[in-house]
Amino acid sequence: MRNFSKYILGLASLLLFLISCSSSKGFIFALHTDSFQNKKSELQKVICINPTFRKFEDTDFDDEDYEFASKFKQLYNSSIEKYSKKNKLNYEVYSPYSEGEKLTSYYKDLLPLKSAILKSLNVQDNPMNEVESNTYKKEIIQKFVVPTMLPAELAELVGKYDTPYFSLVDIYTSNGKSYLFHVIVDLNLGRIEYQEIKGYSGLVKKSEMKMFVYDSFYLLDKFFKK
Amino acid sequence: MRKLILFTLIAFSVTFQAFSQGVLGKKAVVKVNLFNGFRMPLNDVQFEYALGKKFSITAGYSLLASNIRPEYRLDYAYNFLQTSSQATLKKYEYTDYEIGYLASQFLDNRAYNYDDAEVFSFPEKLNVQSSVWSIGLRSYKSSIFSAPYGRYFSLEYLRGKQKVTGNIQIPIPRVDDFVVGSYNSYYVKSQRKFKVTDREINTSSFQMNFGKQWVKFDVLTIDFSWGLVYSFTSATNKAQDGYIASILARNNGANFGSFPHTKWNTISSTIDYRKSALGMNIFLRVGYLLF
Repeated sequence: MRNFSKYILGLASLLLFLISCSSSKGFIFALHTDSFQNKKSELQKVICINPTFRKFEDTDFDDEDYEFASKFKQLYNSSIEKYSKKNKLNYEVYSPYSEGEKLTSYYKDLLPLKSAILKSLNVQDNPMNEVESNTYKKEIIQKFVVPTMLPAELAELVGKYDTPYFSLVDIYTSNGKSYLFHVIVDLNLGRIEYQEIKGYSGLVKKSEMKMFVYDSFYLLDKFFKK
Repeated sequence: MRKLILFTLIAFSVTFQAFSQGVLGKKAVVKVNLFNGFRMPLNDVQFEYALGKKFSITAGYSLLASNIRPEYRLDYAYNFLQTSSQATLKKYEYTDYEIGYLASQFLDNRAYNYDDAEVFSFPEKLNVQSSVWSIGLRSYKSSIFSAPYGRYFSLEYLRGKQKVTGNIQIPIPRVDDFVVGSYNSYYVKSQRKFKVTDREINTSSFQMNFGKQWVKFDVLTIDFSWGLVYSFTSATNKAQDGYIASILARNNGANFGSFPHTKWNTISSTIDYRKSALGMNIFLRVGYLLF
């Protein structure tokens, strides 16, 4: 009977060991071009184009639940500005919820830019187009990606907005799978500089959404070489 | 087993990742227990700090007062008898086997002749004041969100003292009664009343829990966990303390089953009375994300 405590302790430490070794579903990718890691000083201001939070009924991402997502849209936009500042990054959100000049410039300039970024992402050979397979491990992989060029005429926007950096931060969630995409483009060079793809097996609600956004900016801040 | 623990620690240190942002940049949580300290929730406090993306350490302290109404159990009486009989072992040159035989004979006769409820009752409660500190390690399941959030498995070690005050009446015969008393008389002599004042019983327990921690409103955490606890109380040399220890082991913590044993300490020539028990525990903690 004296050995009983030893058995309990042994069993518990074995359990702890097994649990610590077990991998959970979910992954983080951070892909970047070769020079982006040294550009922290240039990244004074980033224009974030209409951050979208979309909720789907099923894991195939077919039926969209607009009611659920609409509760978080304002909060999502404000949390991007808030948490980027906390991580020493200056993100300015331009979206249909903006007012005045921001609203008009969103429809006039930034909507075509967003579609151009999405198009170039689609043709690029990167894991973002294969995340559905869900076979990737949870570790962060940082690797060089052959950048895809954006249309040259979009470089006009650099002067207008005082920054060459534009970004997309989108969340797609359903009951089974959820993803976050964070993309930064440099319009001076006309290419995608940085991508972060994060997968999570579960529904993203209010608190998870905040953590998703915060962690993304935290990762970006830590990514730069000091 | 030591190698396994060491290996686990090495695995921890290897898997600690450089980035540990916590929940919204905050890694430390201070929590109070709503179940155990319902009367005084601030008396059971736990502090948690995220070490990496997946692990956190916890440290806690609880200062609780409670009342226990001791129950009569045959194994308590038997253990008490065995312990007290050790003291007169030399005097009458009885062997362990003989003492055990007498004890079992007594218990058989008692069960046959008398009604438990009438004779063996404890009208008064024992007041127990326990101060226990704990230290633990948690392994979180989710790797996407950082440590103080999500499902977890925790290991915890608790150690402390329980101060006991109260009057209890233990209806156990003296060992002398076996020897000199007649068959019918020893039972009458057996009533003993102990006045217990500030007896300190050492207690330590080991618990493993599964749980989940939620974060609400950016700063509030809700931590629910359940699991197994293996606790043992110990008293040295005093048969009365041994009896109290056995009550505490069963009533104040673990509740599945108990495993008694006594040990002769050859160095100090005293009897170590130890009572261990296995049980289940459940916690609901509410906390605040500090920094």
